[in-house]
Amino acid sequence: MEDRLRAVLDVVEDLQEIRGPMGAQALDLFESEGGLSEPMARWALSTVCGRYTPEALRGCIRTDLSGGVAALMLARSVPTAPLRALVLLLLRGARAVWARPSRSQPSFTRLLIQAMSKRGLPVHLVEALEPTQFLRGAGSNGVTHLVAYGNDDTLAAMAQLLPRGVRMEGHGHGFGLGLVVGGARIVEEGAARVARDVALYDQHGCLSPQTVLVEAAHAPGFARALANALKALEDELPRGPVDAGRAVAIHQWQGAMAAVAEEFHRGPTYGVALLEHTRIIGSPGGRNIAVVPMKSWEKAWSAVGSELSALTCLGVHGAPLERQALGLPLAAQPRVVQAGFMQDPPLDGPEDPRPALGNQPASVARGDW
Amino acid sequence: MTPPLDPAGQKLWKRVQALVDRGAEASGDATSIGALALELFAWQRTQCRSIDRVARVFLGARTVQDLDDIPGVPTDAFKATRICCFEEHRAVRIFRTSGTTLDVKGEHLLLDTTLYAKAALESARLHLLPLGAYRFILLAGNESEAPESSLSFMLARFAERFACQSDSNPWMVRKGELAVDRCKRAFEDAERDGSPVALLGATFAFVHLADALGDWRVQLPKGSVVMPTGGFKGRSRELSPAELFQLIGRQFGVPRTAIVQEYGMTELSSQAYEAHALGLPAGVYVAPPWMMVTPMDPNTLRPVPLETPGILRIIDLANVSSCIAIQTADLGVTRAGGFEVLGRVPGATPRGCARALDAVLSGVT
Repeated sequence: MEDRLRAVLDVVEDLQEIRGPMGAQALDLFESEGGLSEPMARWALSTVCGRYTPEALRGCIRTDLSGGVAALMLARSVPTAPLRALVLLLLRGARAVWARPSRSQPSFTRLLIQAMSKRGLPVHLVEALEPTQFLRGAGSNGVTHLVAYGNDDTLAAMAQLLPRGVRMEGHGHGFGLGLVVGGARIVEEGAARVARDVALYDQHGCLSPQTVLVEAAHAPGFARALANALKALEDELPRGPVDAGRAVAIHQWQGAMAAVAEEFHRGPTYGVALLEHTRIIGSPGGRNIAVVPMKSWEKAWSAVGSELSALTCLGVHGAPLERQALGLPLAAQPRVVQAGFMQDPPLDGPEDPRPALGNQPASVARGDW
Repeated sequence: MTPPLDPAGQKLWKRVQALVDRGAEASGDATSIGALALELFAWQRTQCRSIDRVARVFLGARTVQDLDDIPGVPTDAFKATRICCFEEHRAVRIFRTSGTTLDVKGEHLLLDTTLYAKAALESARLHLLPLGAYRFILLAGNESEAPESSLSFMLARFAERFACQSDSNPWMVRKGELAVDRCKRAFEDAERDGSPVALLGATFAFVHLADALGDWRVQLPKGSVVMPTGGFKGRSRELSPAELFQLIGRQFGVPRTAIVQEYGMTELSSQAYEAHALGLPAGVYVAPPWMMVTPMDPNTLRPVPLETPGILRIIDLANVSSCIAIQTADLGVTRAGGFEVLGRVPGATPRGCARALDAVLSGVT
């Protein structure tokens, strides 16, 4: 296992060296495939890859897949996701990993697998097969374990196709929320931290906040401060390019929010809506977020309603991080962190704390586990 | 009669009414129509807080100098709140967007339906129903069955004005069921007496009818027109426009020039039509002088150069009591004599592993 660890660290080191051939290529691909601006791509390569220290990797070594062959179905995610998914399977002791890249990041995944293979790591690329062929053939190819990413419907469909005897870990989509309390003093500092959480990856990750709940009395001041903080980040971490479909979605969201919001703060690369009532409002991405007033924990969680189980991350400012202190209902199992650190998860997740087949048909879960 | 708006609103209403009265074929004086639009927009901002809020957000420090500067209110805003320039309880009609029962629906509140009806009739007279008298066959539910449907309202006005049959019910959908046998009889009657038919209705109903009729064919009399409108909305199998026109042509024996597409939406009071009689290519729509359609850059929300696709912003002056400037999510392009609709802007690229939560808008206020 130490050999694997050293090989993984070598690959990560090459990625971080943006003047080297692999780092430079990764930087380009984070922009072209990952939709990040160049500074954001640099941040992802330096900061996110910087978490792959020997100590952190040793902490991920487990033997639960020892001897097993893993199939990895990647889906659109934040650009660093393929690295994490591959590394974890290797450190969990998979005898071999067959990886199918997502449509959005084929080249970066290919780059990783080539680099890993050169260093003797047992990873293989599967590109020629359609996902259904890949899944149906998994059993006869000796696959014992499928790790799949995607939305809940896709995962459920995959589970239906999976040959008997192959175990599946599904990682569905999720969302994050910001939570800011603690009186007037929290406004500026809280806004700066939440702005960072909003800006990183332009809200493309399941850890990104889509709404921020703020102690009611300070919500207006917070919304203004958040807009200022997002503006201040425009140079340091510029937003990535926005395609026509995203631009329309953002415009429709901003118009709808502007029509009802108490205040709306809009800049070229962000939108902050201050709403009157406690509701959870989905974001179109691209640094657009609703600030909603919160009068009690109970009302806050009640607003999240049936989406509680998909709550992946809470970025908290001004309150203790304990579940009990936050009054979190049992249905919610998010990662709870200080605001500003929502995109700084430990190496082994948990980016999706739900049971692996949590949203899939019970019969499938029973039959195949 | 002028509806109960404030004095400034009443004056504007009368000016729009006069413009519509001149007819869809009147060559509008662009300068005076533009000036009227600017006045209307400024007045609407004083009457409707939501319009003013949207304008402030999208204009920023800019002021409105000409038509291009008017920011359209996005159609999603009609799902978030009621956008009108009068007290809501005075609405005489509320049209709602279609969709599944779970979808949040957009609403268009009307203070008065006369201007809507007049605008609709004027454009239809010119582009859809030029012969003046038709046997109507309507593939839609009637107004009492579908009081929230702007399509049913419009078709009812068309039938009142242009139908030559007075003794039969032209509505072929009842309680959601298409009366296929009654459609057949109506087609046979028309074939027998030679009256031109106006076969109008929801696109998905055409597919259902064609599927139900199977190999049964009819040759609609000369002068007949067919107008399938709206999308499939998941209520029938989906066809490409070419397949749909082929199906209609084969089933009802009409050439493409007898099939007239309409471009309208719940949030509007006016419609644009394909204008075959003007010699424009199929797929090119013509709007009446009081309706201006401009493709905008999706990022800057400024007009795009000619022949460049953009998202359609519509100024519909007949929306006096609601909102004259609507920003759609439809992609279109300006063509000689009109504009072409290229369809919905492809959905935004999925956002990684971020869950697509609804922007749960209904009742936000």
